[in-house]
Amino acid sequence: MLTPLQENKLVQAVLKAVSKGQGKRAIAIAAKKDKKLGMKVKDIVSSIFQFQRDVDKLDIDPKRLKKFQDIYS
Amino acid sequence: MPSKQEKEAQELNDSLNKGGKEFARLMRMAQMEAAATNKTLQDSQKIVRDKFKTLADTLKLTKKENEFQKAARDIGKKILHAEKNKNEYNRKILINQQKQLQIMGKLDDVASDITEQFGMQAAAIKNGVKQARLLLNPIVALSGALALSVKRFFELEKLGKGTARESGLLERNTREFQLAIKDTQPELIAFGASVDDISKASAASANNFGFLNKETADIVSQSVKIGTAFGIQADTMVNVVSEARLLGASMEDINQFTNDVIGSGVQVNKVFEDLKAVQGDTALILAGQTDQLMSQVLEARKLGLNLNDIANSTSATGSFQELFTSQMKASVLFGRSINLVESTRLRRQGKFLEARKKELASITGTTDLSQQALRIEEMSVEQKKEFERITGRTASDTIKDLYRQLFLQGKLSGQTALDVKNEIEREKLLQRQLNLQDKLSAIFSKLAIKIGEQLLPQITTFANKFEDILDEPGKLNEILDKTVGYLKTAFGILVAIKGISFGANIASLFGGMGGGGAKTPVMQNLFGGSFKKTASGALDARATRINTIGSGAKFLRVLGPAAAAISVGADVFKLATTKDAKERKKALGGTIGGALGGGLGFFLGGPVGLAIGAGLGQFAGKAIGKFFADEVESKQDTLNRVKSGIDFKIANAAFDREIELGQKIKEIQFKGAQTREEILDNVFAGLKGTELANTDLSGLVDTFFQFGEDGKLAQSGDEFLKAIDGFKNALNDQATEAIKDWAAATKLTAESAASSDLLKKLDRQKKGLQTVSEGALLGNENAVLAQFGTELNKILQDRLGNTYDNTDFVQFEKLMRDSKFVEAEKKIKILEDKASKELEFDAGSLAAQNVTKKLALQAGLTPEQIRSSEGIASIEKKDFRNSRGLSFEAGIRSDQLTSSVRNALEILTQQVDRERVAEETRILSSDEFSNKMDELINAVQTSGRLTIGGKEFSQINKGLVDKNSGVSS
Repeated sequence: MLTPLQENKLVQAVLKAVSKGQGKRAIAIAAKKDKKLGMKVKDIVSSIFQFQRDVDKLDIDPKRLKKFQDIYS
Repeated sequence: MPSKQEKEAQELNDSLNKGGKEFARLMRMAQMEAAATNKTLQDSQKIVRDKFKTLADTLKLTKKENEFQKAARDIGKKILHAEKNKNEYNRKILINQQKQLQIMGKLDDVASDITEQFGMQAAAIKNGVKQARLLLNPIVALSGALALSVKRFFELEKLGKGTARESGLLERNTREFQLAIKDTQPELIAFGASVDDISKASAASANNFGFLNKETADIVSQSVKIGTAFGIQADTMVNVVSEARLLGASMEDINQFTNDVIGSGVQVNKVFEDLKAVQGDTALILAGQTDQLMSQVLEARKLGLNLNDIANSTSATGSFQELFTSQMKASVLFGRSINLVESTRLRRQGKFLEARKKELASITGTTDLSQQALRIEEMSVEQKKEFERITGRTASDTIKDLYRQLFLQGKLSGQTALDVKNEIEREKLLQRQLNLQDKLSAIFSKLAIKIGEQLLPQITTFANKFEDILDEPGKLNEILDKTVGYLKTAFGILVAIKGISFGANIASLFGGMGGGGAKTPVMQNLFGGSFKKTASGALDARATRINTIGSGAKFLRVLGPAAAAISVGADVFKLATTKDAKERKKALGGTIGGALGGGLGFFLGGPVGLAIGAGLGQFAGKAIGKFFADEVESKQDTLNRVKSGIDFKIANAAFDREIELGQKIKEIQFKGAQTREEILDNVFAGLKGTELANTDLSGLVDTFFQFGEDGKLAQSGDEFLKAIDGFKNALNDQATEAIKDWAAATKLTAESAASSDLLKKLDRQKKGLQTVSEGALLGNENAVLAQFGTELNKILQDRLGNTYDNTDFVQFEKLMRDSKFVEAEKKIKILEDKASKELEFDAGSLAAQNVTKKLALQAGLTPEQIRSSEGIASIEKKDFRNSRGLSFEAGIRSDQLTSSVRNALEILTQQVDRERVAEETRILSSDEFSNKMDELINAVQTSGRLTIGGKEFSQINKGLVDKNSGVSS
């Protein structure tokens, strides 16, 4: 049983791994704590990657994109 | 100029920490913001942004400013200002001040993190340990389950019979109902309902239906749930449901209505209270039309109205003559043609809300609610009076109604309405309605019920079997007498062994050991009994003897049967958790007594019998617990009392002596003394019989008095008086010192009477262990790790000699020197792995044990003590060979290693404590100790008499120690 603080750290570690593109590592981190959690993270990771692929395919005004990328930097 | 969307995006980004920004990139926030090019998309993007912020907050991915960081930010503004004014000096200093605050902020952050984590871990560990201890102890588990089962039995008993009693039905006629309600009862209790709620609701149901069966149990169960969740009295709810059912509504209709009510978002309790309160014309009109009644009440509530308030207007049932008259009157008064025919027709059909709408529209001339309110406000007094007469509501109430309606319309058309609509699962909604505390207590109640159910069949069988006995009062009395008789015999034997004072302690409980004079039997009037009352029903003052309640009965009455059973559980808990040996013994006695008493209680029969048994047994058990207290404990108690008694006497005596001596010194006469010898004679006479009696004071006399060659005093007048004053002060100082010495010497004897060299050594060792545990080495985990490394290296050198390659150890030392502690932990683990493999034994555990052994030696323990210690054996590699955080690579964890060593030292301390008790036992039971105590007491008495006439000290034997029994009186 994880405490909320530990849970948070775990989620943060998972997110960190995913943002580095290390999906498998993220799944491994979660699975180490709990197999079911690993499965859930696997699902999340694949959703994120799919979502990213979909977004990357969108036709976005480059000028506008640059502006918001600067904001979120 | 940035757009609103850009501003909001910027705001969100500013609130994110580093992790949060990564998360934003991961979620392609920038791309999606850029893709939201029109209003529709930007609106929904705003929702996405808000939700992202919520999630980031939850995941702690947003910046949280503490007070220091905030202060630092405020200084930032001043820096800008300084820059603007080109005040370079201020700018520099401000930047440094900002840095100071930022560092403080970081420290505060880390500290709160640690505190939070530590608090949680500590709580988790504490609870975990407690529960594990409880569960591991089979007696605890069994007794706990027994107590909970007895509680559950009482609960069900109350539910079954309580219901029958409340409803006025025979118990056997409610069995079907009882069975059904018993199944749902744990769920209801877990929902927060009490057994009383269920009983009351059942009685209400019985009143309505005249019987109790499975269907009524369903009604009760549903009603109690809704009642509990929405704060409605359980019986109100049952009345509504029962009446609806009797008026022809099916359970499906009622369920559907309940769902509608909950789903509508209105105050659920108000709807059911309104339904219960429906009366007068409303009830008459809607009689038999349950569906319509229910929907009208709900619709009215949706508008914030109570159906009764709006339904009972004069136009509802007035005659047609009256109708036309008031219509004419209103038309004249309001200067407009007013039609009350339509609204009256609607009212008579039971469509009260529509009727009211029509009436208001007709009188105010508008359908807009705010306009209606405004127009009513503007009415003249006469118009308002007529308005009130027609509608049956006052103008001000109607204005309030209209505003409430307006408010509710806005409210229920927004997000609330949407949420309510989405929540179709009633159970979910009900659960959500209960607050967290309710839920937590519900979980525990459910758990208690589940455990309680385990032994319930056995208890029920026993209880049923013996309940029959309870129905025969004669037999019950016989058993009671017999039980008390058995107990008396048992205690008689104990008393024969231990002595009469023990018996006297418990004699009062059972009404004396061997009969005795006329007194109140302890169990008199336990069950209410045969009180003598006057005609008015008050207790008859002339029959105090009969009306007196026995002490035991008082005890049990106050405790209550369930409490008696539960207190056995409490003892069990105490037994498992208390550290105090004496408390543990008492609790053990209570538990044994409780269990024995519970057994006896079965012979008494029924739950009351169980309770009496448990109560009596527990009471007796505590006495038994005391009886079985260790001899050592009793002796220790005696010794402590003797010691503190003597200390107290000594302190008193010292004080009295000082006063006495001071007085005597004051009274020393120098008048007429001419020579040195004469002065000394006077002083000697004055101090006779005191501590200073035989002291050589000639030096002191010479210091203050001066003598001529002829040996006569050279001082006279003021000089002489000054000399006397100085001399007496010096004597006083001497006296204080002498008394201090006397007190110290006497106290030393009191201490030393129960002491030995071994005891002193053990005391030193305990202090030593404490010093080591709190010392510098264990205060620094890295130093412990370094010691571990050194020990490991030594083991390898000793065993392998020249073949040992110490490269790993050298690297470990370097890492430690460079403060790379995590790497050092991993490196030393590698060396430990190799060592264990090559030496073919657990080198890691041995190295840690060696560190501990050295510390123990440092604390003063002997090699023999260390060799035979469980503490050293408790150190095992598996406890400190682990990985840190999420790392896969294990190391020798310095923190866990330190904690292992600490634990071992703690066990060693316990070992020393045990040895201390053994030695004290030996001393206390020795003849030498008894003799020494006698000597001491005599010495104090004797010296006391010498100084103060023996007044205080002559009582020492009576007040302090009864030498025969060794027990202080």
